[in-house]
Amino acid sequence: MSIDAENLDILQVYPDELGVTGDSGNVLAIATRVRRAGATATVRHHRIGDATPERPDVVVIGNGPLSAVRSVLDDARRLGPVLGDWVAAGVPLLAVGAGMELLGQRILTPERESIDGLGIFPITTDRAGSRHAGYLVVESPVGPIVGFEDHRTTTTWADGAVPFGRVTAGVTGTAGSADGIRVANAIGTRVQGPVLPLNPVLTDFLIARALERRGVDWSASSAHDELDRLASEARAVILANIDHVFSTI
Amino acid sequence: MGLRYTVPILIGRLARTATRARGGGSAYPGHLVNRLAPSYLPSLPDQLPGGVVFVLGSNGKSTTTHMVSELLRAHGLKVFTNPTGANLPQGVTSALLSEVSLTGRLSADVAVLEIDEAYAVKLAQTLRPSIVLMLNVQVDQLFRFYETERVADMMIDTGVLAESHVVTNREDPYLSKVGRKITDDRPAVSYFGASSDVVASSAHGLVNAEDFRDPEAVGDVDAASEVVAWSGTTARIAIGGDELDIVLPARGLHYAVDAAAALQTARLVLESQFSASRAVEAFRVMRPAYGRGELLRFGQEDVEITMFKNGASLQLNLDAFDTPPEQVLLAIDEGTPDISWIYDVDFSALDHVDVISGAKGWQVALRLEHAGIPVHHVEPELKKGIEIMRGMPAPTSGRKAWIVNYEQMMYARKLVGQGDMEIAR
Ligand SMILES: [Zn+2]
Repeated sequence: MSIDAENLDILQVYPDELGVTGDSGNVLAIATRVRRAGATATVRHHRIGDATPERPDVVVIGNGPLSAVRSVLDDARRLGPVLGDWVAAGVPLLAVGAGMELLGQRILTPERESIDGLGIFPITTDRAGSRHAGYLVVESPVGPIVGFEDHRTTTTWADGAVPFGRVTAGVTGTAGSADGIRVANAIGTRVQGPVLPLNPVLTDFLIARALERRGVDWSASSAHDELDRLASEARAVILANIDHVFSTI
Repeated sequence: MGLRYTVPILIGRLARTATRARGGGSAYPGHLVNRLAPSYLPSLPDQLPGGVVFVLGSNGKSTTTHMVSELLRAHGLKVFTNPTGANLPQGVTSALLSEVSLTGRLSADVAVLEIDEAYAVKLAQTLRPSIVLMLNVQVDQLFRFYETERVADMMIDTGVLAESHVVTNREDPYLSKVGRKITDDRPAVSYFGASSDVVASSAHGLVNAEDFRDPEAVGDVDAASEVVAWSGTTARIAIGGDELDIVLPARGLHYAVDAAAALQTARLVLESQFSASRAVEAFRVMRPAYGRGELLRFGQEDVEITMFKNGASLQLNLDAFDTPPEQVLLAIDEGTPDISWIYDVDFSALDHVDVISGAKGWQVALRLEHAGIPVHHVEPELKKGIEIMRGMPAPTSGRKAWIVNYEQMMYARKLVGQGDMEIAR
């Protein structure tokens, strides 16, 4: 089946609270790629207090401070079972930073308070680790992913949990350790930048998983050449500066 | 004051001459004096009959410090201030070294200092400001401070240390609540702000950070100084029963709000000496702060330099363009570590960009491709980027616009032979 008659329905969850690291860019990257292929994309938002949303084709949750996570908690507990069902059914989902933490089992705050997460990702996160801020490369089954990380979260994986990938380069101290989490077609990662515009391979993965549910094949075409060229140039500069140490004060 | 400071000051000045000879200013001389004579900096406030004023904020510190200083000077006061970015303890002392006598005496009536948030509480304990002006908290300092609340708390914890007044932004969800942390009758809290009509007329409002910790707003309070009308480089500000028509040093609603903040602060320093007509005249002749809408002579033409530090200031500066600038250079480099926020910025005030420069140029080009905004050249080397801009004919209206981050601005100035300003960071 051809792509041009299709509409991809993207749901961004808590865009105001969990959206401080350009997370709308992840939504925009998916929509832009789909549109350039001649299809349409719609973007919906779920905000605190909104009715439980219909199942979308792709879900995006972004990053934010701990106070923002706290502010969405009540609503997120209501949404959690629905999100969990979607993930179990294979709906692709991208959660970055605090969004990933929220979907985990438990968040430990710097004050050592324990906050229950939504239990969709088999991880617990501790926000009192040391600071990691800088470029990184994550080798993942989807492909190498390049971007920026900025957090002080230590992740612990439950038995049998599958990380998204392994950090292979960077100077923030995470190189050699695992990054993120993968459950079915749901991916959690620390990589911002935001991650999808910089890494079309990951964007294509999410779109392909969404469309295969309808029996539609997806692959990048010449319509994506300019996006791919600019992303590739941007990644090349990041790779060239991968050892850049950014002082935080 | 006295002879005990003479040797440290002499050593500091020698160090300053040496670092300058090596090219470029530095905070090292100030650091040296603070080490040799730790009681020197704390002796400063006693020398100043008008006291010390602190200016804090995510955005607009330099501009507003400049405005307050110029307003006070227009009323005949002798003002000591620190140059842009010299806002750490060593930077303040470095700035002092060029002004004080050998015994450490500062011949000034008042000090107006922009202060880095991270050092503000400590410096407030040292310099005992009579007035603390708090401008805004924007989601810009995540990289430095990780959580927006931390920045807000640093400012608020400084504000409450003011000896007489804290001047704060009614429109800022965090800073407007400073009064809740004050238990005594001092410092007195007064507000500046912009009317809701004015805020609504700006494409993205004032871009202040939302307070997720305490979403309850401060409520309906009167602003002692309020922007009631704004258009480009002019603003009408209601203060003390008057409405002042002000010419802003650069285009943008954020400059109008900074002006309202500066006016209220100056009025508190000057008390009954404050003159509305002198204030209006001071704004009329005011030059923009370094890199903030400043005009730079470049060969045969003028270039308008707009510096941004973060998404919020870039957005406010973009929103200030009445029409898309005819010729645009956009430059951003590794001085801005994480630029994820470029996807939160609405670039639609630009209809194209002629040249994108800086090490992060390709990332910006990728973002603009997603926004459908044509980019003519991506040239990571700023020097070559400037050459391309220079090769273009003069625009038919307006000036060539350079929209640059701090580091690219410093580098650009150097390239055009205007890198003479001492920056002690
Ligand atoms: Zn061109």
